[in-house]
Amino acid sequence: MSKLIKFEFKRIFQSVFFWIVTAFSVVWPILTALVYRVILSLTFDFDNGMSFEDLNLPQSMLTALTWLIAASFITELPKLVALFTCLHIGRDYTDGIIRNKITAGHSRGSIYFSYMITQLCASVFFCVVYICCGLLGLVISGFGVDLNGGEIFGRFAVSIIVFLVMTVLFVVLSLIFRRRAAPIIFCILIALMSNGVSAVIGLYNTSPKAADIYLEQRHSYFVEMIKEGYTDKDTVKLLEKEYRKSKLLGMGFGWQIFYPVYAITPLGYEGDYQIGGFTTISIASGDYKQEIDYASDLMQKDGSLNDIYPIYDWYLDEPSGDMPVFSLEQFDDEPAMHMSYSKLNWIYTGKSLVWIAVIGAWGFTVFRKKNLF
Amino acid sequence: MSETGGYILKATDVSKEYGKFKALDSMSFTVPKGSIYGLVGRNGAGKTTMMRIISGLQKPTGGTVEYGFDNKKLGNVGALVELPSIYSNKTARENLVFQYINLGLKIDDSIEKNLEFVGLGDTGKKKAGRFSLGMRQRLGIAMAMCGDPEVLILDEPINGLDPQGIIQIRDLLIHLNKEKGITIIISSHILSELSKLATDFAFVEKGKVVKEIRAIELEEAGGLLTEFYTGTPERLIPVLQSRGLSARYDSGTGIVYAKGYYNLTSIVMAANEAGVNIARVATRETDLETYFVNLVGGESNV
Repeated sequence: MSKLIKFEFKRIFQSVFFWIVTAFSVVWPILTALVYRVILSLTFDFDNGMSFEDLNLPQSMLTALTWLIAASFITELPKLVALFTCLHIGRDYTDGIIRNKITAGHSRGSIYFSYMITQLCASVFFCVVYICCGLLGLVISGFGVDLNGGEIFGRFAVSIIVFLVMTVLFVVLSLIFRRRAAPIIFCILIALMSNGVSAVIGLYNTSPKAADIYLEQRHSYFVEMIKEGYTDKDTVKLLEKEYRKSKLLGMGFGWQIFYPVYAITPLGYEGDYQIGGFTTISIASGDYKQEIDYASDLMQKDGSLNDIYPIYDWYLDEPSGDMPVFSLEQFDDEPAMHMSYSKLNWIYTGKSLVWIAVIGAWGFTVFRKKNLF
Repeated sequence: MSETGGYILKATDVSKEYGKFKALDSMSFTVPKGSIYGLVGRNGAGKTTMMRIISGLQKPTGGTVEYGFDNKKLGNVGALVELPSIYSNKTARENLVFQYINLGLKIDDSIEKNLEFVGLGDTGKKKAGRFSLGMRQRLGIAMAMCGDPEVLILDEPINGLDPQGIIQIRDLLIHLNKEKGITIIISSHILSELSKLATDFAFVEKGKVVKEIRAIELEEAGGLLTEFYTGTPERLIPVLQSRGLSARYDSGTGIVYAKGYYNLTSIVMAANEAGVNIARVATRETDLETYFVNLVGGESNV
């Protein structure tokens, strides 16, 4: 197989498209950083019109910006890598090179894994170039970089592994369809849909156990509110029915479909790792989260906390200091309500490796039996 | 089949089924070492399927293919099945360099020698995609030749070529067989060309080999066939037999068939002396095509 790997590397380095994707990986993140710089420095007022101001980003936002720009390869590169993979392998089908390798005496396994290994290496190369140039762009544009004490490299590594799942899928599709157009169409569609799908699946990341704990605490709070006379049983019953578990977890049955997908695939990546795109930073709401706080997410979705008060007449009587409080702090010591990124990194690494193995094995099974003519 | 007793490839009861359709039905044949082995058959007879199987592109559903050499060793089997496997955006030399890397061969001046051998030594920077069909076929053969294979498997290598291209490929293959001692397994629709090339034949019909024959035996089995139209066949037959011809009478057509070469004047005079009235004489030479048609029946559409 080493001969085939050498063969494929030579071909990859001679491929024009490989150098186009590499050039994109160099230019695009630098350009993105410069554009961000312009937009975040731009201010407008009626007296002076548009002007540029010195930028002084808070540390957390700088970390978020570093992450967002350098890790955006996961949203920017799939389309190009899909094209590169399909064109590169597709050419081997149309030119009969795969047949040639078999008749020369190479086993199908060697051929399959040589494609897989070299394409994965090419993808890692693109990602690393993109990350390095993203960091370089941040320095050039004057933002500077904040690597969160090196922790961000762990997330970069996870992003690359998640990206490799897509690459494996592209390689498999390119190898199991003999016609060149079919894998290009499928892979581009997958690449285009991956961002949206990943963002949507990422919305369903709240663990059911966290929701149970949250609802239990909320019920205790409601009971106390009834006891203190701030509300009544009927209102609580109504609110608990309205803001039930399935609604807090996400659109009723939608959660039942998407949460299992989230749990077993790395598709929730963009949601969990907040690769939210340009708007996140441009509206200056970017924040580099140190953990996923389920309680906070649940509370944001839970309208019952706002609706519990109407029975209380705020204008006639100020709420006393004795009024029960429902706050995030009460979940601080609850492990199930928090997910650290160090743990999440391992979960995504594990899930991605499993999917790489599953997709790779499926592709190999199909390729091994395929008639190559 | 083989003169030396050695074989390069032996197919035994090889079958290939696609659902209910049997592309190959227990096909068996033996390819002698050093031969040019021609597979002859109609369209859909199973030649290409067999070629794909022996070159490893497809797996049979039954039977075995044995090789008289280490077929797992890289480059020991060279194949050109249907279309040449070449990078159309590379030059002839670059294609061979890739093939050398593919086979783990040392890149040296043998690349140029191979190109010279197939007549592509002067193609320079011209991309293979701009080659004529004949040049592409020759490049495909050069690719298949890399690593000095024991056997070259060629499926329809002269399909679509102009007469000049056909002659070039034919000469090249004879050259390869004679000078490099490479055994060649070849299938072609153009039987007249195959007959000029092959040393052995296998006639394929409905997924089976119906006959294996050496070229020399085919020549002996063929020859001149003459049809005598006469009203006195019982008198003509002894005349023909007395001149060393094998003769038989077909009562259905009323024709006497004689096989072999003869002097027509001598036959006519002897027949006249025997009181035989010959109304008409028609002759035809039995070539590979006629032999094939006689063997499998029906009209030749190979």
